[in-house]
Amino acid sequence: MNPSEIIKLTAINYQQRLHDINISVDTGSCLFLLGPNGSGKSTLLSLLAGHSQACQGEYRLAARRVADYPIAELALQRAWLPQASPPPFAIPVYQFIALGLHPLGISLEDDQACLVINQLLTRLDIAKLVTRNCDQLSGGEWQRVLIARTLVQVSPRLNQQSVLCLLDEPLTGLDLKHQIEVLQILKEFSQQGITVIASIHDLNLALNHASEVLLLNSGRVVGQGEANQILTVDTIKQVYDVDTELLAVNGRHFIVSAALPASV
Amino acid sequence: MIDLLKLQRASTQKSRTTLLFLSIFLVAVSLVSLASGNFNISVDDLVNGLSPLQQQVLFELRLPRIVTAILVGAALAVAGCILQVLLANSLAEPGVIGISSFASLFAVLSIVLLDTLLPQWAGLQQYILPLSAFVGASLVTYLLYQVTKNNLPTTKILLLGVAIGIFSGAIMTWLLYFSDDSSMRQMLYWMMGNLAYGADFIYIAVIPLALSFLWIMRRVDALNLLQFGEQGAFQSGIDVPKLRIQLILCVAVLTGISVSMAGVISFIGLVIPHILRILVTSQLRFLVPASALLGASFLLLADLIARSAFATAELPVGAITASLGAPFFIYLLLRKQDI
Repeated sequence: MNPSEIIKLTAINYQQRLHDINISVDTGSCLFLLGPNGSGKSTLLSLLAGHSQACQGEYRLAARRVADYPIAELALQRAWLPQASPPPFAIPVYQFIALGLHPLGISLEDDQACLVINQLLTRLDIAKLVTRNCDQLSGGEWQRVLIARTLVQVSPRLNQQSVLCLLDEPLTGLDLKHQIEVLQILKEFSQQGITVIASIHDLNLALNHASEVLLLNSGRVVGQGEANQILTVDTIKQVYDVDTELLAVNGRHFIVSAALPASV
Repeated sequence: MIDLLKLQRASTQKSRTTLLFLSIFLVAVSLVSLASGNFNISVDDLVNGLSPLQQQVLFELRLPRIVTAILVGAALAVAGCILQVLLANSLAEPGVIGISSFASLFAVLSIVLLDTLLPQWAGLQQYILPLSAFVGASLVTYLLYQVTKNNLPTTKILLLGVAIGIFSGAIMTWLLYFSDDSSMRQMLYWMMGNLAYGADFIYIAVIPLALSFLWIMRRVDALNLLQFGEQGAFQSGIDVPKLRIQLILCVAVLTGISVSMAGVISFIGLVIPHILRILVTSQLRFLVPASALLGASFLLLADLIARSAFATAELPVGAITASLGAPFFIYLLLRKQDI
């Protein structure tokens, strides 16, 4: 067994959504999940978060079967950002983000916690919203608040046990600047040893920011590895049914659609 | 750097001040309630000693009635609070979505069964009645929870509640047809809500109500996480399925016992938490005790109106709460965009 391996999925089958998934992820990896709509990205993420009752196969996190973890202990090791839904009830933004402290058994009384939250507030550009109620935010603002809560829970400066951060489409609704900032924060987390797994739709962001990508199609793994090896014109055609071209500009690669829009 | 701790402390302070104010308010309303009524008892009488008749009115009529109002008002407001968490819906309320009416149907069924089939068990009525109301409330709560698991929209939950309410009403009409005069009177009071007959149940009701409340306060942080999303609560380390079952039992105890004490009293569980959420905060550590205090005061005031509005007769208190609550509910329905 690979000593730096943090996640090991063996022969996972789940209803009609995931088929024969075998994955291994190394500690500190920044893995992006790619695939068309309905390819099983969200299902895989919720499974990685520990929703494993109804699935076949084995999932080991840090060499231990996830089914054997008490739920509270699991919450110290991983955080999971599900796809955003609007809150039915409202509290101020800072109190919502502080919910992420609950699994760690600390509160805003903790100086270090206040510091970490403050840094996230600044970097995610939500500092001016702290006292606003969380039902009075725009979609992008709410998404950043949710990201902040998730990151607080696995922040290595507050939680020595944290190993994994799962995010389902964290960039949805964010403008370009905030997308880049979130990607930068995720990269820093992975450099500090937190394995980051996030689903995204933008292939170019994956090409330029992921240490590794995992491409899914119809609930099956198409490939896992470095982005520029997985995301080839042929694979994209096969998975997305779109003709693309690969451009190289200043040593960086970009995927663009080959077909021009009909109106041009 | 933003001083988050200071913000948090200011918010906690506001919650504490509100709780203190609500407690004082409840004591004041209780005293006014104790002193008011068709039979006059003045402060002078209290100081100079009461006549036997005055003592009887005070301790055998008014005091039990006030205790009933406090228990029922608090229980219904708290039941509304946690039902909203359970169904992830701020419009959920035991009366509106049919839990109370089904509980009262079961209560009435137990009265009829005891009257007709098992008259030798009539002495156990004060135990059997709350128990069957609890069973009725659990059944509907469980049904509602099962159907809301699949993210049922608010409209469907409300319509389901309406259907359950109509169904309970229909069965009760059947039962009325088959029952004699005295049980008919008792049934009418189930349907309309009345605090005059709850005194028999106070001793039986206090313990389960107190235990439910204590359990809720013990798990209040977990409930608080749950109200901001099931998946968020799961990933924060909460055993959500287990918590939900416990919540269902709690709602059923609170509603079932309220119904067995006072019949169907609607809208307290909707109006009280809603006002507090808007004016103070949705943090359950505050919202649950505050709802209990304000719910108790609200029902006391409603009962005060019910028994003193007309000198000749007494209104059912359920009519008062519904006349105030239903317009508020309609306002909320019209104001909310997402329904």
